[in-house]
Amino acid sequence: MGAIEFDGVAKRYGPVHAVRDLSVQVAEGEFLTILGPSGSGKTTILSLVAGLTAPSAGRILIAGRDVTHLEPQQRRIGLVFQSYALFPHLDVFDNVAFPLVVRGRPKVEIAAKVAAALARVRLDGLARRRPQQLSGGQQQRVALARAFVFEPDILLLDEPLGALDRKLREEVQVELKALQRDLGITTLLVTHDQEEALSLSDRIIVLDHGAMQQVGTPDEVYRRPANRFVAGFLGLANLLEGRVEAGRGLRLGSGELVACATGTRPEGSAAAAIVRPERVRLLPESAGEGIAARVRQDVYLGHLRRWHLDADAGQELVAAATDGDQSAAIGDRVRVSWSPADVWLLPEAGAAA
Amino acid sequence: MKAGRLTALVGIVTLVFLVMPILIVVGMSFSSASSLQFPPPGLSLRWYRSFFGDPRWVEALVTSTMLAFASSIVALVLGSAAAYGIVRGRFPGRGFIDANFMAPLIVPTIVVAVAMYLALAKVGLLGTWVGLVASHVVLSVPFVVLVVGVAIRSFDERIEQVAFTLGASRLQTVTRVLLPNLVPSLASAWILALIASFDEVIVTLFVAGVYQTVPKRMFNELVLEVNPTITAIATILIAVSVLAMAAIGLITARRGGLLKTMIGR
Repeated sequence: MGAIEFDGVAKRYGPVHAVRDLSVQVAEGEFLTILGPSGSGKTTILSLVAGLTAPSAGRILIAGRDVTHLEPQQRRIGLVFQSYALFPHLDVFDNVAFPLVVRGRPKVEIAAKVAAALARVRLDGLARRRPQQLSGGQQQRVALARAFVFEPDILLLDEPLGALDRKLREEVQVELKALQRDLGITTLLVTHDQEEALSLSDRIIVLDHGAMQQVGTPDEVYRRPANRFVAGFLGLANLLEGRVEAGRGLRLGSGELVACATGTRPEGSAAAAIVRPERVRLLPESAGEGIAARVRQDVYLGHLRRWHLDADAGQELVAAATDGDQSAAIGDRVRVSWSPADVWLLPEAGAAA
Repeated sequence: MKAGRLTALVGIVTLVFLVMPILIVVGMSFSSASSLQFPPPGLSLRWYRSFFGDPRWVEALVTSTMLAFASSIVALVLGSAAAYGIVRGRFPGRGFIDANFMAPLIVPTIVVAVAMYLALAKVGLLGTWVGLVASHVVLSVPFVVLVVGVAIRSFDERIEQVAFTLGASRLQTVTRVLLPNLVPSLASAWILALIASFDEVIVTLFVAGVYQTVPKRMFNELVLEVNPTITAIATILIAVSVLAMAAIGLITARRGGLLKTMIGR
């Protein structure tokens, strides 16, 4: 078990910067997710840690050991790919036993450890099945068991839930988190799925174009994003742009004042703020407060209902609520309001006016 | 409709044109006549008896068989190693090396024969067993590189990468993970190499020296006289090729069947 440390890690492919100057520490036992769109460099980071790719600059330390120039075999990492990459010619038992067999462990020890690992992922009865005879969820659990049976220092997961259907994915999410906590193993997960990242992680690194945009707890990156990219990548956000009125809030281009904490922002500086849709309240047109808008679209999502609105000043807004809590039909005139505490002024520098 | 019928006609004529000579040779090999005659006046196995009763033909058959086994096994080992390097390697010039292995398949055989003749003479291996095996390896290795290369390319590299992270050395990964999954392709490649060597005549004529293989002997016999024994030998060679192709068909069909059940689930 051990921590991971990235120290100025970079990877270039010719002129392309796949990963730029990444420095971050992953604490022992922490579940850290690298979240980003495809092409953001997240898979490159995973192969750098696994030793499948060599970095152009910087160092990677696992459990205090500099592994930058070590072969994958010497890194003591458990890797699970999205495709699971099970050995097709071996049954479940032999797949899980593989890391112990290549280490030349005694047969008795292998049998005991494999049995324990299979029990841990609830595959006891399936030891003699071939991977092709298992469901996607079962294959995923075999891949997991194979990755932790030899007690590696860290676990690397590459979109491990990506190939599962939605219902199964939610089950496995809960299981995976419980397993990781039980094992107490430092885990690095790579995904483009924000829901997966928010539900599993202790902390999230948001990545774009190879550069770290923000690192923080799921709550921090969702509610207090560092910039527009992070705000937009982790769900829907109402983006409000204007100029700071110190101590009062943000004066929008349309003239409305959005009350919020302005911190030390200088008077008149350009800034952008976000409000998450579920923080937005819809009020009747007669209400004396809020921004006047018209309902353009009403989207039913089962557990939620979402409204897309056109503010009279031209701004597009989104509101969401648990179904039944609020109601508005297409074409309705409403007023849109929120609490000043729910407005987050983006700390990014040089926001366009 | 009309175009379809024309295509069918052309197809049938072509097929007959291709298959007819083979059928005639097979028919004549069972003939009782003492010269080449078609249709045969009667049926007999006399030409097969003449083949197996002649120690020179039997010796040629033994030489051909030993040569085919030796060269195809060497070609399988070297060609598979080359295919692995070409497909999984990360060094410059892989395309050139790949093309170099394929060359004997594309360059006219007579050119290969002259080149082998000069090269083997230079190193003093002309007319030796080692030289003969080496030249057959050169001719059959493209089949191995081609078939095994395709198989490695279609095998998910991440499975090998996972094996590395699980602690397997490169050698362990090849022997415990890659090779067991390549068995059908290795078998196909080996059979193709075996046939390539067994049928070869041009290069053999140039470099074999005193060694007599079946095709070489047939060629030399035809120059002297047309003996119906040739038709019996030809029939045997055809049968070997057909059986070998059937074996490859069976191997790949079984693999296809396996794939189907995998996807079906």
